[in-house]
Amino acid sequence: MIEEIPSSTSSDDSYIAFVRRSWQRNLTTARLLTGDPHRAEELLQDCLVKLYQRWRRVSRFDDPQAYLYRMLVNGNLSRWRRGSRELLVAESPERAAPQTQPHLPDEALRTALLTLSPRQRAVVVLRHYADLSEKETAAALKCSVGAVKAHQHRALARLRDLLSETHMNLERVIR
Amino acid sequence: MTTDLEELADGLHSLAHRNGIPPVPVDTLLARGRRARRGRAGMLATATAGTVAAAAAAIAFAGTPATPPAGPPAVATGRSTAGEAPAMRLAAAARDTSTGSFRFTTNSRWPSEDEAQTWTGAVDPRAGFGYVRWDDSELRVIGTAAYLRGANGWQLLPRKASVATVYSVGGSPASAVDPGSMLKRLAAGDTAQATKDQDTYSFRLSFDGQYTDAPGRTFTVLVTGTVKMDPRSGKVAKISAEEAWPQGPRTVVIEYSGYGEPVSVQRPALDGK
Repeated sequence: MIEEIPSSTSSDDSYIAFVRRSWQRNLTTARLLTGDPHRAEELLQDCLVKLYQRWRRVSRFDDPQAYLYRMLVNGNLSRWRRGSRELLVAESPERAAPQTQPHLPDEALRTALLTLSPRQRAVVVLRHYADLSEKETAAALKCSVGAVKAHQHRALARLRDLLSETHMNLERVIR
Repeated sequence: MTTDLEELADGLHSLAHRNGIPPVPVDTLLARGRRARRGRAGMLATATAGTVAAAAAAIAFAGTPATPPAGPPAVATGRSTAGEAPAMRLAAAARDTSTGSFRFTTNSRWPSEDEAQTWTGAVDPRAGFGYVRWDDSELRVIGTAAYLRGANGWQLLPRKASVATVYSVGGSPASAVDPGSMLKRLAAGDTAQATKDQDTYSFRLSFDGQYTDAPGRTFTVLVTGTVKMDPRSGKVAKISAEEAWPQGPRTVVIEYSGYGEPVSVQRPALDGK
């Protein structure tokens, strides 16, 4: 049997279908990884452009969603590695974009997430938001399952610590 | 523990969705993807700011270094010189402003946001001091140490800092929200055009490749705007700019003042861990 090579149009169609289907999930995942809606959209768009270039191969031989998660995590890690500017941007005002309504618990969680290392944050987001297994998370981060467990343990301990303090503070403020 | 994790998942879900979901930019993605696939990477001659502007700077300041010295251009270009004088005056004023201390207020607004974002601060580049405040946060720089006051109090940032760190909190160092970078680029003659209208100059520059590590980055953000001079000091008083991003325009206004005044920055007491 001769395997049909997809034409550009049908390849585009399947790419568009994937992008539309997964846009919300990937955008929200990117927001949690980066901590900023604008940077998240930039990161996702850049990853999707790269995915387009590799779409024929990825869509046939790989899981596009898993592939995209890897790209998002690596893209965010790479930016962080570039230096202090990115570290500061993690705390920048754009990350605290004005909201139409206050979101105090959200803000506390956002701040707590930004105190985690990018790898720890990625583990928390992929495990507890994207609902990936430890094995899938390890694949996305290109590390061992043991490393995922270790990151998760430290990350959750830190989040509990920070959020319990914050909740106490918030309660005081609200009263 | 289970409750903990359920709460965490709920919290992540709420946080991730709180800004709403913009429409899928299918056309943009396809256009960028096709361009990248065709391998038109030649446009990205530089990974740093200013592809369009760099060419213009080469015309205005041919043979000069990135930060041109005061005085006329070293090499005549043979092209129309009508725009050179204001461009050079603008560059000199920006250079003069950036080398001394000053205060600044930056306002940035995306059309999708209800309110503008504001940063206020001051820097003394010679002393290596500076601070910037926004919302409930503040960043102080003393030499190579940077202190950030966030939700958990004052923390020492684990990276070497400089006065440029003060500028960088607004976002990309190449974008117009960076008051130091803007002065630097204007001082370098990094403008495609700079025409004078009394005390106001217009400029046009661009930047790209500043937001991701993607080697095939293809979009360029054009920045157009005006620079208003302080008539008494001849230094930069106000920069009004509009950045044309793929997702829409962002307006930025930076106001400078307090030229040469001392900037006092105290080392904060650190909180927590």
